[in-house]
Amino acid sequence: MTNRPLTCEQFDAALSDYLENALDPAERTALESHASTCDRCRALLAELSAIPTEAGALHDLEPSRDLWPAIAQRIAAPVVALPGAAARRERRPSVRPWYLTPASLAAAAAVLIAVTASVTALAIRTGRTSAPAGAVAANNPAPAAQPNDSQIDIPAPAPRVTNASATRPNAVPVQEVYAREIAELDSIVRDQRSHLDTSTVTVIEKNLHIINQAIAQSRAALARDPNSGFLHHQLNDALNQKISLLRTVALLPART
Amino acid sequence: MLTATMEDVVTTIPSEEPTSDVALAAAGDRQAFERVYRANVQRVFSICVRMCGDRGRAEELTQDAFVRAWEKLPLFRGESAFSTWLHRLAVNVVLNDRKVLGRERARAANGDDDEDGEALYGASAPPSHADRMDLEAAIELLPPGARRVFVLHDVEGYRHEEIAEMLGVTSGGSKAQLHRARLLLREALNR
Amino acid sequence: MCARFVSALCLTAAMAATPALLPAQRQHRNDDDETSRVDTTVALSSGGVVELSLISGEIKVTSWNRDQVRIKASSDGGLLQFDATNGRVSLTVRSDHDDMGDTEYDVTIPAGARLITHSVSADITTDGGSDVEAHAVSGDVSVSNVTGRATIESVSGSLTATHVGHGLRVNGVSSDIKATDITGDINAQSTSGDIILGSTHSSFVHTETVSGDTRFGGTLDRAGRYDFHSHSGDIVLAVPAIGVTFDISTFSGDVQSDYPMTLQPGSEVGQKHMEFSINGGGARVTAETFSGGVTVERPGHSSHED
Repeated sequence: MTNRPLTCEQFDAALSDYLENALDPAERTALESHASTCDRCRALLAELSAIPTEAGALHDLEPSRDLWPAIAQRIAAPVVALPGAAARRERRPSVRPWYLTPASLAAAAAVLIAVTASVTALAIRTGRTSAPAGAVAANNPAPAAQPNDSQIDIPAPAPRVTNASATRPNAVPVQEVYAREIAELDSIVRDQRSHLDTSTVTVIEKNLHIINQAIAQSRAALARDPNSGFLHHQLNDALNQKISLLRTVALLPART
Repeated sequence: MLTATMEDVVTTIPSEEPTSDVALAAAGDRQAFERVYRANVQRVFSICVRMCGDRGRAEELTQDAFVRAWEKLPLFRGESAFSTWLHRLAVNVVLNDRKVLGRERARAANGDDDEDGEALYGASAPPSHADRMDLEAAIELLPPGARRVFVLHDVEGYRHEEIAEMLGVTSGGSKAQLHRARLLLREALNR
Repeated sequence: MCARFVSALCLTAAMAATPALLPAQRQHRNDDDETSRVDTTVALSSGGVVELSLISGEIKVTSWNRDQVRIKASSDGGLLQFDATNGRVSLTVRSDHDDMGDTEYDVTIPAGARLITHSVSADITTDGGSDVEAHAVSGDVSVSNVTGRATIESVSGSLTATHVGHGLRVNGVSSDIKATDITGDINAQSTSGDIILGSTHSSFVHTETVSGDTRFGGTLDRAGRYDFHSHSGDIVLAVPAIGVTFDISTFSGDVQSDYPMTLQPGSEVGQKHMEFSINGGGARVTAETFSGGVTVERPGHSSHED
């Protein structure tokens, strides 16, 4: 590098490297000395240098609405009943606080996170919109065997409709997703009951009955008017309520 | 005697609190994860807004980022700070979204935007409130390629090598985009 | 990863605070003598967390303008376990036998502290705090004067929130929900309990019940969204005469409105669907029921009393 003064064009060309600290000392000096004599280039340098500082000091922005409820819904993973989950329950010195150790879920709690949430999210979302049936099926493993001694009314899958007449091609798989998840939660909840006090169990059973009635009424209406989007929506709301209640119960802390 | 013991402890033990919500969330505690969300949502949302330039879309991407974080949290090993891990994850969510959605936008915005983004400033009116634009608004109006590099480098503090890897460009390309972004911003801020 | 559980201070309060208990008695482990107490004040850094949990009894929390947590606690038959770092104070109770009797917490927290409480049958009452979480099973929960966000849950206890500054989420099963003077997003869900929202200032409200009634009486933001869902419960909306767009659907319930409304043509079998706007439209209000009634009324006028 010679000591010849830079032109503005040379200054512009070297400016990026200057700001990146990628010039050697002689080049830096040449650039700075040009800036000290040229108003245009001095202003350019000062303003460009200020931008990263200002950018680093930008305040965080706030979403226009609470984004959590939708996240919570999506991460509410299906519960998979573990064989022998109850048997594995043990009273070891508690590492987790008692309220994070639901009575029936010492093992199943871990499973709550292990299973991806996509099935539930899909079921809930496609209840309202219409995703391709294939998408649901792809994410939906074969329905698990339902316990045949279930005390809770497990909704039977909706009558299968042919593709030709189906306004909601995803209706059947979604119902199966619900049925499967409800069955699995139900078995965990049954295990849980003996660890809850009787008045709480009474409240839960009464409310499950209320929801089951709502499901039955929505189904009956839907049978008469199978294409009603409103009724599909109502049914899905009731099924979601049931899942939400079962999940709440599954995660309730034990009485002791 | 008891109080003395306590004060000793209080002054010597650093707070373990932020680590603990992350650890609880990793173990499947949704309430702890909600606290993690509350503590980080503005940061993540800011990254998403500035990277994608669309507030509505950024809200959805923020949700996607936290769902991804929840799914991947059990794999978080604590090798980096949690915030670093989360921000990087958010950046990836935005960039992956670009691959799917951005193509239409890029096409609409004249090819790959990268050649003559200057036209955006020339043509578009300044944002509604402004005689003089603030930096936030000016970033939003940058052409997408320059905006991403600028946000990652000057706002988020990533190095060119990291940015090059994330965006699939060369380090030199990243530097060039950054310089162009700064020149465009200067122009916008001075008008 | 389990750093949280490395207690900076683990104080089995029974040992320290019941000096009258003789070693000989302790060896007999007479349950009746296992009373324990905590009565202390510790420092808490700004934005710190106070975490309180117990099974039965009562949790009472108030706040003050000091960076300190004052704790007075006693348990009939359990052992209080008290941990404190400068960022987190926690108090819980444990017992190795089934009946630990009642436990009472009386705690004063810094006004800016985050508060997390868990109980089974204990009632929880809180006043103050930045973000407050309160979870119970059969206990009643009442939170007030929360500057940030409140999250409250119970299966059968009543749920009450008053004066919350930045959002509220409420979940109950048979719980009645009452929320008054709430700013920020509101999410409320109960299976059979009633939901009553009064004096709310929110641009996002979402409620869901199966058989409970819902009553809303808050301000509306023209850019806001307000969704109310029920199966058989009634929904009563006291709506001020600003720009509102209504979308009301019911399968077999009645719809009444103080404002003029129109029935959309082509409604499905047995179903009523009404979409109408007042004052040019704006805030989006959606109400859906299966068999419950929907009433839209002007504030201060209750058509229920007619």
